[in-house]
Amino acid sequence: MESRFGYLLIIPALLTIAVVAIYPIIDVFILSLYERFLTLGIDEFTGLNNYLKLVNDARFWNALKNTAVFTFFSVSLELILGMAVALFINRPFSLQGLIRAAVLLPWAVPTVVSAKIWAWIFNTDLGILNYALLNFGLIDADLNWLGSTGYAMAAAITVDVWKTTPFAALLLLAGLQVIPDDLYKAASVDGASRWQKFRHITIPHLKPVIMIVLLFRTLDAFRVFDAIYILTGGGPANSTETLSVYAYKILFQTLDFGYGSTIAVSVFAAVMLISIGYISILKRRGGLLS
Amino acid sequence: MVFYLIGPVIWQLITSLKPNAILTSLPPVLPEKVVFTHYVSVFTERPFARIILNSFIVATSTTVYCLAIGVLSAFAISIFDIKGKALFLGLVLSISMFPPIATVSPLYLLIRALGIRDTYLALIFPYATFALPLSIWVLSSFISEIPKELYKAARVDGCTPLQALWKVLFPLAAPGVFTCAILVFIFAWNEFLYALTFTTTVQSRTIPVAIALFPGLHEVPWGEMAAASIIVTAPLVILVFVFQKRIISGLTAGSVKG
Amino acid sequence: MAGIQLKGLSKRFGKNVAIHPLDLKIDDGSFMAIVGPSGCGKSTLLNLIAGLETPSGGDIIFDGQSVLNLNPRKRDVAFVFQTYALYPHKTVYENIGFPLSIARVEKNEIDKRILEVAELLGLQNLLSRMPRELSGGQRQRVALGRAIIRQPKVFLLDEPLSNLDAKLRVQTRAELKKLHERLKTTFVYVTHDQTEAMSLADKIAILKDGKLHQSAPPREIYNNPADTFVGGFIGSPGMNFIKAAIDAEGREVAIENMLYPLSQPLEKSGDIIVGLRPEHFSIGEHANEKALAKEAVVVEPLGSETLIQTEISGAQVVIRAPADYNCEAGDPIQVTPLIENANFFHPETGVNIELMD
Repeated sequence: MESRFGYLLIIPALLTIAVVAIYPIIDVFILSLYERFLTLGIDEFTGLNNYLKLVNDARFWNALKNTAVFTFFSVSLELILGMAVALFINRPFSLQGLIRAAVLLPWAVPTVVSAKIWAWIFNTDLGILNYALLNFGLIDADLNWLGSTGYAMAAAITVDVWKTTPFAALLLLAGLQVIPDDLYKAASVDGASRWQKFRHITIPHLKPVIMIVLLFRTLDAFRVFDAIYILTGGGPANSTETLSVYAYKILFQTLDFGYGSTIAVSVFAAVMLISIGYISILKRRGGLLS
Repeated sequence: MVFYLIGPVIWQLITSLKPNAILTSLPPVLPEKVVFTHYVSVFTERPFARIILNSFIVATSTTVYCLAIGVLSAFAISIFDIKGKALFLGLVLSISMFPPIATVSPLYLLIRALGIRDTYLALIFPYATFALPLSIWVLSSFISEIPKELYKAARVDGCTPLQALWKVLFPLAAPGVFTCAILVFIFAWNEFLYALTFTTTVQSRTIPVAIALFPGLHEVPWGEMAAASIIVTAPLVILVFVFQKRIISGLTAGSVKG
Repeated sequence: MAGIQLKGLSKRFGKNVAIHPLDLKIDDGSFMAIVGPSGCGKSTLLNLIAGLETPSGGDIIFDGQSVLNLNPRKRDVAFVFQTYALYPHKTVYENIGFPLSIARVEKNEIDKRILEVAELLGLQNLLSRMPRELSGGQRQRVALGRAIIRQPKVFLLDEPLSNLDAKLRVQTRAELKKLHERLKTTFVYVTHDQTEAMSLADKIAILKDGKLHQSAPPREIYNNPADTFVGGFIGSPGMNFIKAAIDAEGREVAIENMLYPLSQPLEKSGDIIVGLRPEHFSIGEHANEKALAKEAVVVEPLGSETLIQTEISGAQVVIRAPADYNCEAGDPIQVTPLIENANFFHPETGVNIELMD
């Protein structure tokens, strides 16, 4: 029906996408094939040299490991906590609206602000966390949360989990709410226990939603920048430096646009691989991404 | 659990209202008297009003721009059965997965070449990389619920295609458009990486950048930072409390079979 | 007002053929019903006439003029949708007046015409309501009102009654017929319900899988269906089809082991399919020389009549018996086909032999 008019309508979107997404993604590949320093005036085609450098770059592998660790723990914790929150809210009780808004709150707080809020809480001398732990006798002396290699990553994960559990919870809640009530009634009649209902009705019906939560959250966590850049700047001793943070430093602190773009391409490639993996799983299961 | 979720924000609120004298005192005490000095100094000693205005203009323009072209695309794929609809949606979806770090270096060079660094345009257009896919995705899931017959009816009733969109479909899509606008606004308001990269002067910063780069002469100005955080977060908190149902429906649109 | 002519009209969606090239003539001021099972292409046909779809081939002619290059707003047609497609954000008043306000008709004139239409349809008290506040029947009338106010050349109606409950449907059916007699405008009416088509239309076009099977007045379609599909589709229950054989001269037909003389000889011999309506049997308890001895398989006393199912030549047959016919499943019955009413169909193609050229 009048499809010519339809094509006309998507032209502005296509043009915008071409300029702000397609062109940059092609250009970043091209940049990655150059040795290019902005200030030094160096601009030379070097083929795959940057990629060779990347494979032999211990800092890159360290950043990749950090990114993977961050992603794995953040996403797992968010899924588990999100599920708990969703199950908790998915019952009729008074103040439900208020609780739901409270759950949304961390999601709405800008990442930068949430990192600052937590930096204040994690502060070694003045932070409320150390004070509380000391008082409860859980630690003997103030811990340097953000400044020691052992704890900084855990702190970063805590911030991310705090900020994004609500998103997971809301998607899972929406998934819970479309499970037909009759199924639970039928299971009750059949004598199923609460655990059995959860195991045999809730989980199977929630699987597609869980997959989507995992997909969105994994992609988001893998490209993490804001929280870590603010909280630790990648330190101490690069122990929290993720790929995005590393790429940013190379790009805009050393102004090495060639190699910085190469790291950026590696993030892009990893993200695309992850999404292709998830989507093929979703498709195999007859998932929802039509 | 509720304490875990909102506690940190409350603690920040309390911090922002404490006078400097007891700010760093341990054990932490509640202020006997609420003071607004931090809030005042944020505006008097820093160009915070200007920065809020920057954030507001950038977020609003991004929202208007992306929704305008997003709603047209959403009409195209939901009402007009264009061929390549799956291809287009696939493209949009994969662009929403692009890591910003991968596009930031070419965009930086482009913006520098165009000489629009430190202008609003330098943020509004890059923000379309995430705001436009979000808009198209959310809007088309809302608009696909409008019966196609309404468009047909408008056409036989004598509307031109544009009139049919404007007079009949747009009013019906308005709630979805509004929901989507809230989401896009929040995302644009909170964006950090592009804003950090494409602005160089204090005057052109947005709020997240300003807070991230909060300078302290000798020590970190925790009180002012807390005040600034609360100022940025307050409008979002209001949005969340007033429109929580819409926000939730927008966030979950298209990802859950309903 | 306009007569419509479809010439070799066809529509493909990618590789799927929705409508095979067809010719159809719809007389000016007539009530044409397009009927067929779901997915037969009847709604597509209506969309093509309205200009909401572009044909893949052929021509559409209104009053001798091709309208192929005219978009919907220029064709001057009104469309009533199955879902009514009322604008949910507009009141009844605004819904009915919408076509006129788009055409920039003067405000006073719009008011006047809305009131006329509202009176005609009994909507005077509902004008300020929103569509969601109306019952199904009321919505249906608003949809009609929005169509009528245009005074269009042609009314296109796509299953306008199928969302109403059974009782209201019969009532509205009668009102639609009155409306047509009053407006004397061309109506093209799409339905899957053959009873609706039979009761409303001057002429019926029967579509299946995008092919036009027959177009003729209701009685003709009922009495002389063009093929077995039409015979089975029209009538409730549909026509019975019995395998039989014609003798070499085309003068006698053999059903099971009984011979029946034909009043008019056929130009065909050998295998054939005999089509008989349920009322084209006589039924009784006593044998006569033309009767087949059968057993009632299912008996359905419907009040106004009794339907009896049995089996002839290996095929299930439904027979219409008087309401007071006393019979139970398993009872022996004597069935006599009234061959003078029969239609004869080709055993492979199913085409009516007498209508074949």
